[in-house]
Amino acid sequence: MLKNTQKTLSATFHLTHNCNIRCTYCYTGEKFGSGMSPETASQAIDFCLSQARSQEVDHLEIVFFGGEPLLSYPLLCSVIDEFRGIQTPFEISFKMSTNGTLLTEEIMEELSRRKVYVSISMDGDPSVQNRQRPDVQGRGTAEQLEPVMDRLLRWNPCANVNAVVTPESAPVLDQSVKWLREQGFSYISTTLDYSANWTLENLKPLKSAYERLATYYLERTLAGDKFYISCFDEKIRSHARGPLDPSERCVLGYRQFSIAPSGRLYPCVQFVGEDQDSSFVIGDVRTGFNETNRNSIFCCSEQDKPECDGCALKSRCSSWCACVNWQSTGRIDQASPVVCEHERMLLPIVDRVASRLWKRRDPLFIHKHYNPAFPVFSFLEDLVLSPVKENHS
Amino acid sequence: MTRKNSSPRVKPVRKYNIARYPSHEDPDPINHPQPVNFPFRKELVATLATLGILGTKASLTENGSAKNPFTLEQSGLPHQPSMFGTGQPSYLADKKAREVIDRVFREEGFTLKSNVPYQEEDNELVLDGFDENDHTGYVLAHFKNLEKDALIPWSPVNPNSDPIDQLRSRLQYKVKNEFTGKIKEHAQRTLELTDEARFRKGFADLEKEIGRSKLSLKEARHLATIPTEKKEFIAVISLFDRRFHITRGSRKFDAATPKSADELKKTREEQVGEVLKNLEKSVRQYLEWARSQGL
Ligand code: SF4
Repeated sequence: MLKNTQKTLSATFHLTHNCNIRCTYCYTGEKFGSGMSPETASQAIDFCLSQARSQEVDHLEIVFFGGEPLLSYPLLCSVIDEFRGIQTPFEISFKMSTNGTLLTEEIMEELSRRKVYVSISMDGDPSVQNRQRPDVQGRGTAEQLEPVMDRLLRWNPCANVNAVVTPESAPVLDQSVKWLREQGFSYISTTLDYSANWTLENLKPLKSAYERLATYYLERTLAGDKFYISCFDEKIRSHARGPLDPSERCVLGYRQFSIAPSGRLYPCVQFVGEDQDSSFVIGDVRTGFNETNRNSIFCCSEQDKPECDGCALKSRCSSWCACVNWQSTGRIDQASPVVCEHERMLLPIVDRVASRLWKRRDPLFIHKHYNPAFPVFSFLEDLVLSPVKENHS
Repeated sequence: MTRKNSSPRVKPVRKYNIARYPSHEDPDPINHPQPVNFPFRKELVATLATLGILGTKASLTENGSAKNPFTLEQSGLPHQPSMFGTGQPSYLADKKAREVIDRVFREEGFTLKSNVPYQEEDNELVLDGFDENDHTGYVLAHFKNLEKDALIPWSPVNPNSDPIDQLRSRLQYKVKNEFTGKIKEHAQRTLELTDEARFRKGFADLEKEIGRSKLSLKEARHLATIPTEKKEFIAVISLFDRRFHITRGSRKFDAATPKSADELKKTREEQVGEVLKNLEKSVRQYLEWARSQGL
């Protein structure tokens, strides 16, 4: 089966530490005002381009992350324009992850013109969103986001929504996903807050929610509803297409790095925090990579995990991800017990539903997971043939 | 410090076989000989087809174009055996047929349990294979498991003969030719009963005892015509179906061109191979049809 053989370098710009909302689980630390200076931004651009050239990549992906990147909107535009003004032998694409609260019609239009793929973070229906993602004054943000969802999906029907699952929201994960689908999102990514205090007790309601979500996934797929739910589709993918190829993985600090507002380099967004912990600094845009640090972090994260020896799920398990292991255990070289419990719980649920869809030779299931042209066809269907919004309730 | 019981732990999984859909090591399902419908809007399909980029990766067939290959008309039931074993084809061994059918169901992702009792209305029988999750399975009709109404007697029963005599003679035949073990003993004891009422009761008990493993025409008809809305798909696969007849490799059929015993054996083996392939194809077609009906 076809693998992605494109060589991609992904650089994440943290334009500011600041944010206008206060998610209960935020790992980016104190929301102090310091943002990236225009000089640092220029140096970061040069650094990314030189890295992309020296690595001879096919594709340079620039991601804007937070704090909230729209708080530094003028800088964000100038970074994009500067990149766009340079001729490169590789393709450059832009993504932005936002909390959505500042996404006006005007900004959306400008971002679309600049071809920025916008992804919004929302945790579910208003009750979950208001509880987990309040503003600075502690007020809910759901109402504010109502027109934003419409706006975003009008400009890009393929926009992605990221939902963080905490022990508090876990029991209603299925409802959250359904609600997001009903709002029109076709691409729904769910991520566990691995830093939370997960116990066997609070993982149980998550299991029930996944089971209900499996029924929903089955019914909607059989009904021909084209959507992506990361927790299910990525797991099915790990069986159908095999373990991630190195060209598809982040390769900590090599294929992917994060640039803090100060210009310091980190292996991944999770480690930037308040930019105070030097143990994960792998360089600076002005001086380049510190190869000793970069290499030791990479090697440490890639080390074989003896605690997983003989595990039949190893090739499909997320324990390869250093960031989630670090979030959950404070170490990057050890499999996280939470990841382990979660994988052992989720995989059978997902595989059962996938087996049923296969048994029925469901065309959507087969094309989604086995036809390498599916994403392109799907994109054409969603974007070129102006979609008719359906009620997915 | 001791670990709390409620803390998650890293615990390798030693055995895992829940994923019953193709992996990256299996043949690509998109290139499966049975085409997969294209799950996109008609406008897109038309555009891609015009541009010639649809390739062979998908089919444009509409759902529901598949047909049920196991209708009662196809089954060859009721079956009329011949008097002296001449003039009729030979039939696949039920064991061989079952092996193929079970394998196809398994490959298509079903988990069949064998000998599953089935009861609906006044139909009571045992299914050869049944997947309880998907309400899908099969029953195999072969010479040894057919009930009397699924067999056309070679010589018609004399309507004027005494019904008790008819029962007795049927039972005698079965004791001699078909029954084994406990059932044979029970039938033997029933035959010895002289009192008519006791004989009838003994006969009814015996029928009950053996009835579940027999397939009547009424039951076959019931299974073959279960409304698709019920989402219960039980194939009535009959070895008397013409597609599964073995007509080559026997002296009675190849008499015109005399062959040595070895040649006959080889011809027969070849045809058995072809018939098993037909059977496999039909079972796959049946599941394809069942899926198109919302299995
Ligand atoms: S973390 Fe657990 S499930 Fe994952 S590979 Fe290790 S032992 Fe297996």
